[in-house]
Amino acid sequence: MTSALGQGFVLLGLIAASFGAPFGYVAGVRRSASGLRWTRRLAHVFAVAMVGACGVMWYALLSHDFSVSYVAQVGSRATPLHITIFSLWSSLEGSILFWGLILGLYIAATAIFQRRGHEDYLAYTLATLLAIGAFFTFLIASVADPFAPTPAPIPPDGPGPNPLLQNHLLMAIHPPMLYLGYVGMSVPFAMAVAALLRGQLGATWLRPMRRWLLVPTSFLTAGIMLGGWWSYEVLGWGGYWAWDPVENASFLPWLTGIAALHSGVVQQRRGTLKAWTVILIMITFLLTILGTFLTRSGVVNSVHSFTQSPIGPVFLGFLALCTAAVVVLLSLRIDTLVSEPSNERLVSREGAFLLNNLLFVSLMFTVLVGTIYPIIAESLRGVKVSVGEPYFNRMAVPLFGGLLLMMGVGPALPWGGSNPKLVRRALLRPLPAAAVGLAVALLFGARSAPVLLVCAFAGFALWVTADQGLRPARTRRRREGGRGPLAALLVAPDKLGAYVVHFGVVVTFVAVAVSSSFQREAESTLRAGDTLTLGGYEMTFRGAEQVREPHLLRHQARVEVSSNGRNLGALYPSLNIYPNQREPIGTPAVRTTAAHDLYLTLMNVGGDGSIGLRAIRTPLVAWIWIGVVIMVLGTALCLIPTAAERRAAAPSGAVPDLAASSAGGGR
Amino acid sequence: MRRSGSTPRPDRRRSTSSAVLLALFAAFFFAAAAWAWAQPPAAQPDLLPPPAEGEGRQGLGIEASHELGDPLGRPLAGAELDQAVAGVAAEIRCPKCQALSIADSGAQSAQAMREQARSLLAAGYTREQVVGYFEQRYGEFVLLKPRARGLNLIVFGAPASIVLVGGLLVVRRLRRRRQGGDEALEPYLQQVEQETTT
Amino acid sequence: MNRKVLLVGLGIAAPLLLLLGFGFRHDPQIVESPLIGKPAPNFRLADLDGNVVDLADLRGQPVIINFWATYCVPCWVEHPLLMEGARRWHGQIAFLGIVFQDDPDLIEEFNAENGSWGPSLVDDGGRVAIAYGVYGPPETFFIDRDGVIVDKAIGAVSPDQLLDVANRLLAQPAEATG
Repeated sequence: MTSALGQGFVLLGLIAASFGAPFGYVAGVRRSASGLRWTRRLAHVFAVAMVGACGVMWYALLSHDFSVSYVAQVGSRATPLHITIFSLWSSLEGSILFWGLILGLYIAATAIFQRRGHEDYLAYTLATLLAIGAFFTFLIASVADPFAPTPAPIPPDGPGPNPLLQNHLLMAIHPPMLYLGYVGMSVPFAMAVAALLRGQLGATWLRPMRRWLLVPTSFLTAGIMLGGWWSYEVLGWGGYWAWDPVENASFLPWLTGIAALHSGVVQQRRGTLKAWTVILIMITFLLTILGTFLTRSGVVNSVHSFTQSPIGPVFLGFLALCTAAVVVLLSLRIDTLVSEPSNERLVSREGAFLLNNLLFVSLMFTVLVGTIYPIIAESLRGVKVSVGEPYFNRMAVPLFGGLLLMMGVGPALPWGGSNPKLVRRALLRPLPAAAVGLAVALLFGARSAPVLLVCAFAGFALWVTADQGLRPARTRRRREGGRGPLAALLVAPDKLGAYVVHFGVVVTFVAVAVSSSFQREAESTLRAGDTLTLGGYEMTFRGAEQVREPHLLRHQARVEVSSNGRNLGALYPSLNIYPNQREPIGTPAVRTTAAHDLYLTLMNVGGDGSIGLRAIRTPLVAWIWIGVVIMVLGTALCLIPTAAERRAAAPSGAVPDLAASSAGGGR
Repeated sequence: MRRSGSTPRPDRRRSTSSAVLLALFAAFFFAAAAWAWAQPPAAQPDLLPPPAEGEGRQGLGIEASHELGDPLGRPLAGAELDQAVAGVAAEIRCPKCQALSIADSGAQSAQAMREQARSLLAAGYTREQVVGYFEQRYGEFVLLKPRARGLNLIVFGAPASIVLVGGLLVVRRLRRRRQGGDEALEPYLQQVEQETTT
Repeated sequence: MNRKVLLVGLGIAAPLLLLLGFGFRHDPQIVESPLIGKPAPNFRLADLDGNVVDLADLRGQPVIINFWATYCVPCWVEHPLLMEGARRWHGQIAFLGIVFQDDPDLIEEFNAENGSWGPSLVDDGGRVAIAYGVYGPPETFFIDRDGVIVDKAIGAVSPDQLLDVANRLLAQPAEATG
């Protein structure tokens, strides 16, 4: 019964999407207003169907209806309520259903929010989104059907979700964030397809596109950070990023998405780089599909991958289809997107944006090659190889350094850059800040060249970021005066937001550089009463106890921490032993301060009551997360409509797109 | 820092500053590339002398030295040993885990491998010999950074070439402007733009 | 039609997609051992009762070495097969079990319950497992009369593989040993 209802909703979604897509394309070609109306209705139907299907699945999970195969696979009566709710995305089929839900919501949001001011493109945009939706509903209805009835006899109870995922609440929000990022990239992609089909790229395309690109990029940022944080808090190895193939997969579209955001700035300002922006958006979308394929096909060896399943080949087929469509569409239509004549100097804002894009794309390519090289090597050489952290650190770190440098140099440079005096002053003024950064690093004992460079670049970038970020407010206050500081700050929320994001990036960069270079650790076997010392901390082991919980046996050690005789309380690192799993899963105990983290992991528990304890002291880790939070807040600022946009959004001020695009110079 | 050359004529000065910035970037990337490549040449495991017979049979266990031949370095101890162990451990993939190195992993096999690395390094085997030992046992799979030879060169060369090709494209784009910077050439420029926007 | 875009796009995408497709033919979990065809690393280990086994003493006789543990499910699966093999080729092939990171008490218990097909050698510190490049139990190494590793099984040994390799090992003339 529940199965049939769920399958019914999925089928409804499939029908809505597969009718809506061709309908939308025809409506786009004919510029038919009623066709567009119908496409929008079908988009809403698709969203409702996806909400319905997920609702049914949640109902089945919560009512422990084991006649639904997915519930029999991940559900269990003993699982706490909140974990049951999250188990919708804890396994393969459910995660694809959840994906469908998010896609549905994005499609509906596009249909609602873009109904004005984007009319020229909307039919094509929705049609493309519905085509993607048709693929996913097809997937849910066929090879990844979570609603398939469980073959008789129906089990009275299930195994529950993967223990690793039950360990921490971060696991509840990390995947949805990542999916919101991944799936959201479909919207700018659909808009890019629309622009190519329409053969024009005006202001009514660029503004919504940048907004719809900003949203998923920001979700992706948060998702990646939460993944790192989860890894840090749960996996117990003391790090947050292992360059695991699936981590890399989420990183790839993030890099090109950001590159596209930046090239969009040039397009907005100068009317150049139109085709390039479109290409970047398309690559971003293809990378999200590639990433999903890598995660879900079992083709790479990774902590995160789901087990091998028939979904892999289907996804590869979809990836191939999308790639072919994109390449053909680009080659047919790209010449219709004519940019303004470019008139760029290297040492100018435009030149900096070009270098920025070069760096982002190179970085993406490096990570991509490193991620899929094992597959290449196995196909061509028949040998299994690994590409891991040492490789990525060598290859990617210099590119990151370049990005940080550009983040200082780029915004400092004037547009055009034709006045050498201005250019020179722009580059000389932040130099004292760079010197301060360098001095601070030296003061704290940094001696390695990469860290010193990062700190100097960071000082430079911080100065420029503050200077540029506050500039609109300063100008406005000087001109008009009298306004409160907050109102003045919000004169140009998008500019301010962009520099807030940059600020967050600098914070994260410095934190990553310092934390990875100054990590110290100690490891020892301790009996009750023994003390381990590390970097000013004394950790005394006070005995271990066993805690039996429904699904696991937990060895929990009590470790008293003190620093210079001052008692800092106890930490309880633990080892969880799950039945049928040999390697126990450690849950580290972390003491976070602004200056550094003390991270304790239980390595083993001996029969005689001794423990193997590993202590890691890592400086500035908390600032990595703080930096990302700043980035996300900055993005939120960018989404506040600017004064010009508010005026444009007013019905009387609505500008037909043709006029706008010719004003923008597209010819 | 970055504008060392400034000559009186404005246009010359502009091109000088561009050149300086370009040179800085080139230097940065060359340094980065050099850094990426600067790894000591790895010892080839199969070039090592054949196993010595008849020693180390008294105790239980296994003598890795049978397979490794003579130590090529000097015995390490103390902080130097710790550092060497950490260096080797960071490059070896933990066989039981996913993407983690044996330095990061808490798995028992990883601990055992760290211990093995420690005793070999303490006995005077070089870093390359120890890495080679693990490679010889577990296959190339345990190396977290592939050896730069043969097909593996793709994984080092491809990123470098994309930086190069991308850089050339950027330079070409900028060059186009400089050649046609004259206002009279505007229509021509537009045409070029149309032909080359890809 | 912009041919440049078409060619560059297809030139990058097509090989990538093809290679990804090829990736499906391989199981990412299985890594082939580089040790096949190489001399088996020699070891001297004691079983639970303290009886010492030296691999070098078994030269001239084929040897099957199995790394196992009580916690590993495939090890239980292959256990009856190894029992059967040890019985069938008794005196012809030496069966050695090496315990992979397990508790001696648990091994004792397991053997008492299920019987054992050979000595359960204790590999303290896991050095022998490292020398054989063991990723995780069970792994089985087949060693010929000359002490060369001729084959390796990852996961539970299948009856076909055991029979096939054992016959190959026994077919090798005994006088080939130096």
